[in-house]
Parts: sequence; structure tokens; C-alpha cells
Amino acid sequence: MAFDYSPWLRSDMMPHIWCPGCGVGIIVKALIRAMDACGWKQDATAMVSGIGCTSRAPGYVNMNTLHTTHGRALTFATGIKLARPETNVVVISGDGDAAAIGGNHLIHTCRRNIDLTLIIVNNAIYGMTGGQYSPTSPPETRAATAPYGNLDPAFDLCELCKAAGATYVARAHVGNAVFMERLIRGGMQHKGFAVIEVMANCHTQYGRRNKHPDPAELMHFIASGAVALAQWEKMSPEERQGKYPIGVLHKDTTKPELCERYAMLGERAMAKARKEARTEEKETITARDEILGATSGEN
Amino acid sequence: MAGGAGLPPAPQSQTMKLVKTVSSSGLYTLVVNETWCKGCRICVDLCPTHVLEMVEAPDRWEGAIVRVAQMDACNGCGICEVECPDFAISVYAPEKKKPVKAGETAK
Amino acid sequence: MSYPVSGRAFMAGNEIISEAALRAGCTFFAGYPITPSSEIAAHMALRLPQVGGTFIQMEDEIAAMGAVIGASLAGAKTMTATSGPGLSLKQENIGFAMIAEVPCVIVDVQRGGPSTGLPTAPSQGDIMQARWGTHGDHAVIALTPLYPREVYVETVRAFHLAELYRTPVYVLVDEIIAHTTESFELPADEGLIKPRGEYAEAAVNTWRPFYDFFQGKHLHITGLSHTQEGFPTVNPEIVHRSNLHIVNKIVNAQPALERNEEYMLDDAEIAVICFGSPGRSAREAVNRARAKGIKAGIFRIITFWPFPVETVRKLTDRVKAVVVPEMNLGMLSLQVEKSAMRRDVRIIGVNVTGGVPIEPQQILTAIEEAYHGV
Repeated sequence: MAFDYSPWLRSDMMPHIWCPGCGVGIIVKALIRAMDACGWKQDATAMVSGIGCTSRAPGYVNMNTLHTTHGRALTFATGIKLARPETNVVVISGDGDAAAIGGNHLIHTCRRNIDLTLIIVNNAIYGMTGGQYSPTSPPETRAATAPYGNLDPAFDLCELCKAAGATYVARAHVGNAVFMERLIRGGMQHKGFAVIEVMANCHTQYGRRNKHPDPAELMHFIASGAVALAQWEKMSPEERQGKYPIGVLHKDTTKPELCERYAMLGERAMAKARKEARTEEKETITARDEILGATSGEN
Repeated sequence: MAGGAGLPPAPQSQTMKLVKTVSSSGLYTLVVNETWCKGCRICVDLCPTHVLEMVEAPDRWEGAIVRVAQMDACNGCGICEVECPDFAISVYAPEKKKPVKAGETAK
Repeated sequence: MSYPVSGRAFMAGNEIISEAALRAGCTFFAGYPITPSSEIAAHMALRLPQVGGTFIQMEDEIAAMGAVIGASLAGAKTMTATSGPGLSLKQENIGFAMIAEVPCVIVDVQRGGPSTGLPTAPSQGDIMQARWGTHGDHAVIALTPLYPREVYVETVRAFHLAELYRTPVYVLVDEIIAHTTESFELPADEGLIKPRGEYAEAAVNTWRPFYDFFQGKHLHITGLSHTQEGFPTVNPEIVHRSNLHIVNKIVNAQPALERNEEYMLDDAEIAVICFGSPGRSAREAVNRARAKGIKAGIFRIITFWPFPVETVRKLTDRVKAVVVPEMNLGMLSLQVEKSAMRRDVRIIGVNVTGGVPIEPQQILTAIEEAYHGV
């Protein structure tokens, strides 16, 4: 029943900095439970983040943690994973961090299908910096930099990642932490790039400006948009307005993962180098023998 | 490195005494970490059987923290535990009850 | 194709840098194509898999720098290579490597700038970007080798210094050095090649203790100003001390890091102060000047940052005048001016930014001008 978070938490740093009611804490807990369920060990696991409220998470988790620059977490994580492919690397990032400044890295990491697990905490706002709109803020919502309403449509991050080549794409919301944990677990166990988008509540910056100032109420509002995938597939475009599918939206286990592909490349390269070395050696010996042979012939 | 004037204040948890409250119905046990609870009300809102309530705590984040109102109503669903953002509430079934640590007060 | 580590080699600068990196123990390279550095990426792509290392071409320069830092934290010796515009892009992450104290080597093959500039022609225009490109207070180690053997030696040294001071180290060359193929004697091991685990002395230099990831130590690494435990802080005194530490660990090491080449400098009345490619033309110019009876000499800087202020000051004190040939509009001149205590030190710049080498005659003319007090 009760989960013992203490081995996974840097208790010295608690209580954490997130606002009362902020969904990030719920997601970090689900992430911890998922890692535990997968049998991941703290020593062999790295957590990487960028910048933002979500990105403060690694500071509270007891493992190898890396808090990088805005939008670039996936690039640092790629370096860690390629250098130590046998380890577990999880990336946690907000919607602005992952999809705005980090957008290029997001699509390429999807394309490469490297074995990382990415949790995108999508609260549709830039919380840490005071409530500016993000690429996932719904149109017409208010923000610090959209005082008259956001003009832009929002990304469907799951569709984006799927199109870019991610081989495990799932979505949950913050009020569904048990399901969220299972989806994250599935991503961690998947060999390839896994993205789990979690619709989250930021009542302080998003909610306050958009008629949802209470965290619990905002959680209910977010939950009201969730539709199980099987149901979603039967819905018409009109019915889909204002809703989003949750669950495992895409999974492909047929695509080889990057570290595996690179290992095979390494074997080929080493075999080729050895062959070339033998050829060179033979050529050197042949040349030497010819010279020696010519000399001894004169004798 | 020279030490001296203006040593930094210790992180909050080192100055705050960790206070946990344990409530048991005989079927289930709830442990509330009163130090980490920020009074966000999510657990009170989500609890399906009205086990929990908010109580005033003027020195706290939202001016309140959670308290167990009716432990007997607890059905062990664990929603409060998984949905608490602050690692502040845990639900135990009796056979896995953890020993009460120093500083905890049993109700 | 075999890659010996002793005897004579015949290589272009970019290849020399690559082979020296491998010899120094580099097992991870992340890069992005940019002229005139791309041959380094191509060579590392070929060689790293052969030696069990990893090469990746990332989606952009910023990503390459991120990957290089991540891999270094995971225990690899890492390198990236770029040119001016790419270096501009990398700056934020380079600053991260500085405050987070992550060892890595950054090769900048300088080309005409600013912006797109002259992609296929040399310049020395990044010397200040290397020093001040990223925001905030920081010090930098930048090596500016010239001759092939020196390029090899200095690249190996760059990896060593990166480990010793736990900082990014620049190897700054230019397009001429990168693309000139020459025969040279491969250097012997100077004892600068050792695994990270054997750099116990690095602990004295760092703000906080370091272990590679996955060694059971659960470090938190962040770009926020942090305590000696590695966690974010806003305490003004701790932050200030940490900033001082990051800067001083390199500034205070300047005497140990200093490396220059002197040519006919002992009795020189005119000193040619230079770095990189103009050093070759300077030799010819000084030889011709000496033939004309002018006592000229060369002071060629190899460790450019931290700058050899004291040595340059002493030099400017005793010579009549200084000639500074550089493929930019006066970045080294600024440093010479700053280092000199004499307010009346005469500095004659030979500044060529059209993307062509500085010719010996141009330097000779300046030497004669300096000598005759014109």
C-alpha cells in the first residue's frame, strides 16, 4: 500500500519549492514509483532536466542528477546515454522547455530513437518565469505575454513526437496518478525513445489568469478533457473539441534503438580496421620480402 | 576558504522539526507529514469518503494543513497518497504498518 | 590506413587534432558540420568506432555542446569542434560547463567573421569570444598552437588541463593550420595522458567534490549558483565565493599554464608579438630584418588565456616598439596595451581581415617602421 519514498528523496532539501497544489510533485512521485517498479537502481540511473518549475525535480531525487540549460536536457541526456548505454536515463521537462526552445532537440531525439524516457509536464504555461504563454497554451487563454489572449494554436505534443519517430508515446493527466505511473513504467521498459506527456495543473500562473485559481478544481477541469484512447477513436471531430486521448497512443517495438545500432556499427568498424591492418601488414611483409629476395638473389 | 560573518541559514527541513501524525482505524493507518503539508486541499477534495479535513494553521503556506476527521471512513483507496504533491500523506494496510518513529504522535 | 603514435607523420592540422585527441584518451565526440572544422568531425566519425569510442553528429551546435558535457559527466573524455558562428551558439552551454566544472575540449578553427563571414578563409577573430563569449564571470584556458607537432602536443595538453582544472579548454587554430598538410615527428608521451581517476590533484582546484556519474555518489550537477554540496543557493556570500573560486582556480594557475615561444628575443629592440599562423610569416620577416641589421625578435603566445600579462609587460618595458600581426582588427594589440605599464609603448598593428595570410613583407614593413621611429 504505502510507498516508501525515502530512499529516492533528498529529504534534506524538502519541503520542495513547488506551489501548494502544483502537479509537478504528483508526477515526480509517480516517476519514482515507476523507477522502483522497473527495478532501476539509484546508482545506475540519471535524471536530467532543463529549466523551469518542472526542471527543479532532479534536485530532490536521490540519484545521479543533472539540471542543465533551458531546452537542452535531451542533448545532455544523449551524451550520458551514449557514453554509458547500460545505464537508465530519464529526462523531465516542461512544455516550454521541451517544445519551444527545446523543440529541435525533441524532434531529433524522437527521430534517433535513443533509449531515453522523457516526461513532459504540460501545464500550458511558463510557470517559473511568471506565467508567459507556451506552445501548448490553448488559443485565447490569457498569459503574462498574452494579455489580450493567446493568438496561436497549441501543439499536440504526442502527435508531434509520434510523427518525429518516437516509438512509445503516451499521455496521462495529473489527476490519474496510478495510470500515469503505469504509462511511465511502460516507457521505461520500452527499448527506444519513450515520451509520456502529462497534462498538469499550474493554478498559480495559468489557472489564476484563466478562471481556475484553485489547484483541486483545475485538476478536475484537466481531467474532464481526458478520453480513453478506445473511445477517442470512435469520436467525431466535433466531439473531440476540447478533449484529448490518454493512454499508450503509439508503440512500435520493431525499430532498433540508437545505442544498439551504434554498437553494431562499432563492431563493423573494428572488424574493418583489423582487416585493413592485416592487409597493410601483408603488404609491408610482401614489399620487404621483395627487397630482401632481390638482395639475396644477387648473392 | 575564510568562514566568518553571515553564515547561510540551514535548509528549511533542518530547522523545521519533522512532525508526523499517525491515525489508525484498525483497518488502515494514515500518516500525515505535517511539516511538508502545504495545505493545498487536493487530498480533502479527492477523498471519496470524507476522511480528511483542513484545519487552520496560521504559520503555514496556505494558512491550513490537513487533518484526519473520520479515520473510520477510510477505505484504503490510497488516492490521497498518490495525488498529494508534497509526499505528505501515506496510507498503510495493517500488516505493513511501519513502526512509529520518534517525534510522531499517535492519535 | 594505420595511425602510428611514434615516428614521422604527414597530416593536415584537423587530422592532427583528431589523432592527438584519440591519443589523449578521447572516447566521445559530438559535433556539427561547419567549415573549416568539419574534417575533425569526419575523422572522429571514422576513428572513434574503431577504438570503441562514440561519435555523434547532433542536430545543431548547441546540442553538440550539451552532449559533450553529458558524456563527460558520465565519465568520458570529450571533445567538440567548430568555427566562429558555431562557437557563438555554444556559449550558453560553455558557461554551464564552467560553473558546473565539467572537463571538455573545444576546438575552434577560426574563419572570417563576423556572422557567416568567410567560411573557407582564415581569421583570428574568435580570441575575445573565447575569453568573454559566455555571460557572467569566468576565466578560460585557451591554447593557440601553430606548428604541426605543437598542435598535437597542445591538443593532448588541452585534455590534461581540462581534467586538472575541471573546465572547458579551448584549442584555437585557424583555417590555415587546419588545412595545411605537413610532415612532423610524433611527440613522445609527456606524462599528460592518464585516466580521470588519477587526477586526485584536481580536487584542490574545484569548488565542490566531483565523481563521475554512476559511481554511487549521487551528485547533483546544476548550472544554478550552488553550494559546495552542489545544491542551488541564493546566499550572497556563498554565491560570491563560488564565483571567485571558478575564476581564481585558473587565474592563479597562470604561471603554471604559461607557454610561449621566443625567437631571437634576447637582444631584440623590436618585438613581434603574435599567435598562430602569423608566427610563420613573422619568422621570415624577422630573419630578413636581422639581415638588414635590425634587432627584431618574436614572442609567440601558445597559452593565450590566461594571458601572460607579466611576461608581456616585462617585454614591453625593455623594447623600443612592438609589432602585432594578427588576422583581426586588434584583439591581441588590446591585450598587449593592457599588459604594458608604460603608457608610451609603441604598438604597430598589422591587421589583415580579408581572409588571406599575413605576408612576411607586411610584418617587415611594420618592423622597419617601428625601428626607424616613423
